[in-house]
Amino acid sequence: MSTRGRRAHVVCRADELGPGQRVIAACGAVEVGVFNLDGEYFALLNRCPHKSAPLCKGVHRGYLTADEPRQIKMSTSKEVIGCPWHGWEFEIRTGRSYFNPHRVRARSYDAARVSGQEISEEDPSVPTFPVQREDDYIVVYV
Amino acid sequence: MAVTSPGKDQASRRKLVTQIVDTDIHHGFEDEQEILDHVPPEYRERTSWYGLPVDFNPVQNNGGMRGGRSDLAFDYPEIPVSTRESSLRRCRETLLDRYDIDLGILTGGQMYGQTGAMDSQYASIMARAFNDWTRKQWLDEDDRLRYAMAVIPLDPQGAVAEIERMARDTRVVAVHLNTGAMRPFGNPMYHPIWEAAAKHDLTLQLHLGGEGIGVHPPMTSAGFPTHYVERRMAEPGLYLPHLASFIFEGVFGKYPNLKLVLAESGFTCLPHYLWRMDACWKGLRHQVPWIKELPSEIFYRHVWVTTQPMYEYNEDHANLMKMVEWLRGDERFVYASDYPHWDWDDPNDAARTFPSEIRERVFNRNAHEAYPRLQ
Repeated sequence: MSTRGRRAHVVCRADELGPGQRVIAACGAVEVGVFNLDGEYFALLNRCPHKSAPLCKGVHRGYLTADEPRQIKMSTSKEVIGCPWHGWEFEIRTGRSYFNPHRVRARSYDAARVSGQEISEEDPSVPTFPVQREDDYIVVYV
Repeated sequence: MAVTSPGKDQASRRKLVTQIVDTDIHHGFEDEQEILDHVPPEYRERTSWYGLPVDFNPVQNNGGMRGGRSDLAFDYPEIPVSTRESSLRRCRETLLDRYDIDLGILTGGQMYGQTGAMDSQYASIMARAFNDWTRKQWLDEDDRLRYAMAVIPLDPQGAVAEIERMARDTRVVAVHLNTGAMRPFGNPMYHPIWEAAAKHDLTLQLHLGGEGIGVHPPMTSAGFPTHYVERRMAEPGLYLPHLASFIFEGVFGKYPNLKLVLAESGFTCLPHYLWRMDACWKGLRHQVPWIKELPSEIFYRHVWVTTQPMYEYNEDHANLMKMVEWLRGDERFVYASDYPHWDWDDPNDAARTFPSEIRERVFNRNAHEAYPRLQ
């Protein structure tokens, strides 16, 4: 993800954001959740496309799957954020939802969209931002 | 006339105490009519239909004439109202011949209460007897008839054995289930039964009944309602927990060819329930991650719904068409009459109610998809 044309915001010191942790920071006009997944950094807009809840304050967990009933497995990486309101799950790495509700949600998506973000998918994805560790600091480009 | 004890003085001499008070002596009447004479007239119809002492069957005081069509009882006075389903002759004359029914699936009724019996294995013996009797007395007598066989889900081993035994008869097209249950039907305790049904392409036919009988819990989570009309209002709630359980416990993923028909559930309760299942799954998917698509999509592949009782859409045809759209009723609805019950749906009237472009589907094609053994 390119940082060109974006403004850098320092959100925290790198040692304050260990693996599996998150931090929520104001970056100009928007609020962003920054996640450390196994040493990689990802940032999501702190707003759920469903009902505009503060998404990044939701339940942070691994992705739960099962090939057959009652055989649940969880990914080792805490790669899912579950919205605090209504529980919709999003993939932190991409901002994509884990189900496919675009058929019923495509229209309401526009209303929840944050100005300035270019979102082309039909799914109600969450805008993501480039994050970099620069020396001792975590920097988000918004 | 009061009777005085003879030899009181002599008896009292043998007593070890001065006076004996017995606080529990049972008594009773010889003929129910003796009690009926003391029942107020406005209750006599009910007591004469349901008997004395009070029958605790939860569908007591059903609609119509003890749940049946009183016009049939009027035309066939020789058939006792308590055994209204028992006459193949009347079934032929007033349904099969009269309406030119090509194929009809028998669903019984008298075994429904057995599903809640404390001794489930004994109940399985009764179900087996009913199945054999049905083959001899009905299926052998009329080649238009097919059968949704009785099983006792609380005896899974017995149910599996009975399915294996009956599946050889090609006239058996479904396994009949009643909504009364100890646990909803997605529970793994029942899976051997569904496996046997799927193996033989037998459709599961879920019909109300058995709730509140024997070991089964009441028909509402608020307990037993007083009147039949209240119990009737509880009916959607008899089916829907089973539907959610079948879907979320992953039964249809485990047995991909398994098919379920909701019989007499009514369909107007279903659009809301499908929407609710989808909405809840979006936020709770992580608890049932083997469900990888919208629950409604699973419904649309595996579940059919009978049209009867049809007229719960406020008699507004536009409402019916909305239901058809919401439920994909052109694919999911199968006609059922519920003969000979008081709330049945006349086939001609039902056929006229559906627009011509989906009539064939509702009256035959969907049924052939829902019941693969039907021929």
